[in-house]
Amino acid sequence: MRVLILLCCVLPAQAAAISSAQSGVWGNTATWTGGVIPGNGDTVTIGNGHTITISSGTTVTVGSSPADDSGTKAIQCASGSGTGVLVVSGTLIFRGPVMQCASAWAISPGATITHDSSLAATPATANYKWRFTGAAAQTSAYLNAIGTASNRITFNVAAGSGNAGGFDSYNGSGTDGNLFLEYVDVSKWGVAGAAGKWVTIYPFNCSTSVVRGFILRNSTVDSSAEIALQNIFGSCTFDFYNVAITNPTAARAIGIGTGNAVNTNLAANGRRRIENVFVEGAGVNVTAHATTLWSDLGFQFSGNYFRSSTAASSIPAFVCGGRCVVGASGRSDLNWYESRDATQASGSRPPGGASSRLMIVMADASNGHNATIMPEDSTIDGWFAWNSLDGDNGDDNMLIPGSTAGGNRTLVIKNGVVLKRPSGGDVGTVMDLNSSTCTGANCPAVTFDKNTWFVGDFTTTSQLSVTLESTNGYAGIVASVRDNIAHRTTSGIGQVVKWTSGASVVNGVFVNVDYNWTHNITSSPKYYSKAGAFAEYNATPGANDQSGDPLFVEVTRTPLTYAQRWDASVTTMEGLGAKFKACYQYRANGATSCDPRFFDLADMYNWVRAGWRTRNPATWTAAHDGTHVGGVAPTKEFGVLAQ
Amino acid sequence: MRTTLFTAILVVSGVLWAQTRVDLKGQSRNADLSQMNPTLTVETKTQLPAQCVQGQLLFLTTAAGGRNLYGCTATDIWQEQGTAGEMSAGSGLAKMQNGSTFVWSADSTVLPYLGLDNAFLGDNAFAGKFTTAPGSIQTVIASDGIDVSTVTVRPIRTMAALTMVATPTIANGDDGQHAYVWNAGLYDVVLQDRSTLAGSNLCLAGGANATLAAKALVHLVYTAAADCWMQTGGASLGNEGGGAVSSVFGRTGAVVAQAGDFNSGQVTEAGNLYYTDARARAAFTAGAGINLAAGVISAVGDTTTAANAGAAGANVLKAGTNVTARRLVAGSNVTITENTDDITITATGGGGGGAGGLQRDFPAAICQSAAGSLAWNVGSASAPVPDCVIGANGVIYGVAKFSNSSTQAMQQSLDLPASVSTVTFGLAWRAMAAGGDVVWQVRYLIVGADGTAADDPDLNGAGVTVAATAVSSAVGVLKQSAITITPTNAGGKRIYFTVFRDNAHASDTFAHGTYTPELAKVTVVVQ
Repeated sequence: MRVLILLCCVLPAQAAAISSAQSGVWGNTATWTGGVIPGNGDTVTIGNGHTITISSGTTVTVGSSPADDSGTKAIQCASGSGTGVLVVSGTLIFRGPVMQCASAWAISPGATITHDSSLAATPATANYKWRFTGAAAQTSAYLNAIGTASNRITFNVAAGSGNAGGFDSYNGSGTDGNLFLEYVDVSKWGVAGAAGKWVTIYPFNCSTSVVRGFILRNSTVDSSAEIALQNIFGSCTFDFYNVAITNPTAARAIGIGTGNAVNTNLAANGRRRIENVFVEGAGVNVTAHATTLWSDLGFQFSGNYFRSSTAASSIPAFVCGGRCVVGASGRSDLNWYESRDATQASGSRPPGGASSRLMIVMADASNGHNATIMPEDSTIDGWFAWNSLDGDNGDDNMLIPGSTAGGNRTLVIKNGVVLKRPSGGDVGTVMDLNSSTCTGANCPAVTFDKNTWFVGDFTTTSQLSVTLESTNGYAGIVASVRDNIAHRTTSGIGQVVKWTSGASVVNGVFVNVDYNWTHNITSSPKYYSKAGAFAEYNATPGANDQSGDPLFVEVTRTPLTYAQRWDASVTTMEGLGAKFKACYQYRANGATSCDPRFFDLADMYNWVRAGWRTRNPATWTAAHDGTHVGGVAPTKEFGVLAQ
Repeated sequence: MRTTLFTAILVVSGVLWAQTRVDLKGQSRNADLSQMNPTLTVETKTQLPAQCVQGQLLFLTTAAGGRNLYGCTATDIWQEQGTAGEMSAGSGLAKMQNGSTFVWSADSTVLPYLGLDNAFLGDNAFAGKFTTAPGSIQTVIASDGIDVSTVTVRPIRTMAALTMVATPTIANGDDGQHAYVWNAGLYDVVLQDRSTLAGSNLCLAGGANATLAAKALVHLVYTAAADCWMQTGGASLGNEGGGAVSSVFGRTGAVVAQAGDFNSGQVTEAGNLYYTDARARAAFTAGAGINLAAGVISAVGDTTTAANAGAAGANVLKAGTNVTARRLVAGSNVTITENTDDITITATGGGGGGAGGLQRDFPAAICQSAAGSLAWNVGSASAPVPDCVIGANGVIYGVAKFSNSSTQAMQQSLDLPASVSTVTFGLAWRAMAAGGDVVWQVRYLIVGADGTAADDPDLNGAGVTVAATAVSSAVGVLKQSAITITPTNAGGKRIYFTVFRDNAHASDTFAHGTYTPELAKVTVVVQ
């Protein structure tokens, strides 16, 4: 009897599979077969050619709250290649997976898309995805969620729900799906965990006439997983602009790879860009397809502020695998890569190609390697590196050329400054050809000119400067070490060029090692030679070196002191990051203002480097070509006004 | 032959003197000489002897005919005998009569002046030559420097209207001689200019003939260079009076113009006339204005104009547009002086600063792309550190950070005005910590304007150092320090001043591990 009563009460709410009868408003009975408006517990199939609209101001809850993403779909199409359309102008609460059609679905400004697994057996693991088509090789599946600055679109989860499974264009057998998001705020999308992803987009058959791929602009992403993008084909778009990603739940916030783009035939309005993006707590990776190694990806990286996770062995703030910015549209400028793993052995990898205004920072208390550079005929022109922690005497701030494809590549590192550690600790090697990253002819020919670095004030173990590590190299692999400034705060040992005693480098490895400026370095000679005859050099190194106090303007300048100058309450890198985060979030969603002094990375870059201008006139002409030595143009070129 | 004749004459003469001398008194009585051949009864001479005895007669052969006989009226005094035809001085009225009509008469006072050349010419003219200017006329003529002895009056008279055709019309005179031709008759007499009458020696006014009406007079002056009688006094011919005005402006006698004789309504406006004040103002008030092509408005003695007196300015019409003239008002530290021809505007002390005087700001540094650069001259080793101050509100300025552990300095210079009494250095600075007091100092040199050692040896001098009063720092607050100097003989020269901070100064107690005093600007005020 009790059973009968229960059936009596439950039956009216029993889930139903409802199909659309025609195009129309969701809340209109005429829209649906049988005249029943789909609601909570129901599932919906949108017929081919039908456009169903959730009107502004209305809320639709749909789905049967299955146990997991493999359960019955809350919304689906009549077939994998169905052409039904869903337009959401109000609020859609989906309690089951969504499989959209091979058509363009739209989410209008002001709409809200809420994932709700709160009624599932185990809400935390019921992570329903939003998929693109049920068939392979479809090219017409789009989700356009284009809000406005004043009417943003929200992607969130319901109270008691697990995270959304995220958008997924990979159906297991083929690829499709294009996701364009602008003025959206995303929260708790993607399965939590190192491998979780809230966006998986495999654009298919990118052409020159249609924009396909992934766009995320003027948006915030919080407590969500990775954005995983694959298939970097010639004209596919991967565009990140004005994005703030905070509290990521995956190891990577953005992972782009598995492609063979050659940077040709970009579609109209299409681009590969990561610009003005803030990531804190995870890494960003861009890696070309392994089987088409080092293709020209043609990315634009600029104005980004990447802070990695503090977890041990986490992914560095930014890693470019390959020729990321090589190509007609490629560039890398004004980027901050901050690795926060204090035990990290490998730091960020600036992109192969042309980079400028590079800031590579690490908080490493062990033997960290700040940057590994994939050389690929690359140039880093204008940079500073800094270890914000005092720690051991290891190889902090090391710039390590990586291996090349086929050899005969070049790497130019110039106009850079290695800043002092907070208490004057050793910064380690500034350029290290290391057998762990390249060997023999696969190592590029490195030019290391016009850089300024702090050797360190240790008295007995003052570290190397330009070096080879565990490799014998080959003649000419270090093409030039000229016009640099190597200095200590107090007098002590130090050398401009040195290598590990275990390596017996071949003769003539070092070419054009001269015209360097040293200060407070007492070692003599200042260039290492195992046999004492400088056979490793093409000529006796340092014949035209000079020494003396360069009279730096202010050697205490670091990114942290930049923040402290404006706000004395900023005492840590977390505080610095918070300042910039506020401005990136302001750019992304305009919701709150920020301290304008942290709006632009250029101010910090310029201010820090300005402290390393030299005022000793002798340094202004000490280079091999009569120009200045060191990584920063001297004071006289900054416009001292004489009357 | 010539010698022979001369010798013969000498012989004959000697014989005559020796044989013809006869003593009639002793040798005859009552002799009758009538039947005698011609006899020389008077001694003949070619010149008067110097000596004679009374009663002696002499025939002067060289004298004019009829005036040859001279008698010795007293010892050694010869006098011409039997002279006739010359009037003798006397009284009475001289008259000339034509038939029964007197045509000319002269007062008896004239007679004494009629000289030897007086003569009657024909029956109707009388030419007289004054040897001395008569009466009151003499004074007038003499003042012009004219030789009054050559003034001639030539009255003429005709029996009917006559055009003079005789040439020369009047006999040529002496250079500068005046002649008055007076038509004494009743009919017009036309004098012909030599341009119309060949042989005429009259140069009449305008080269035209002159008609002498009855009683009319023409004044001529003979000019030798022109060889003619020049008419003077213009073409009008007067009658020497006649039609006399009894009074002028109600006054008789020598009338001189005086105020009130005319009013402006009786004066026709022309190019050489002026508006009266009243009429000019009336024209302005009516809105008609006064057209000025390229002139000058001259306002003399009236400094109260519409623009100065009220809020509204006067309208000046310029190319069809009314332009309101505004008055000049002197602001603080400015003096406006109205001169005779211009206005002088003078800034007191040369500047417009609140306290007056020349003021100039020297920012310590400039800030570009968050990188500061010093805007001063500095040495390479002791220069302060340029930096930026970027406010959260967007205000940006550069600063120079002065060390807490050494003396750092920077230098500027400034041309001083012609007159200098004081120079004040105002220093605006801050610190990001309240670490104590800061003492700013200035060392200055004043040199010649061209800044060369040759111009002023003081360029090589050590200069003068002055220190500001110690001022306590406050976190992030702009503080002010000031130094005033009173240099002598500094006008028109150039001052080099070095602003520095010596952390070892006894009153400088600012000491902080991180922050240093940051100088924002130096304001120099010259009074």
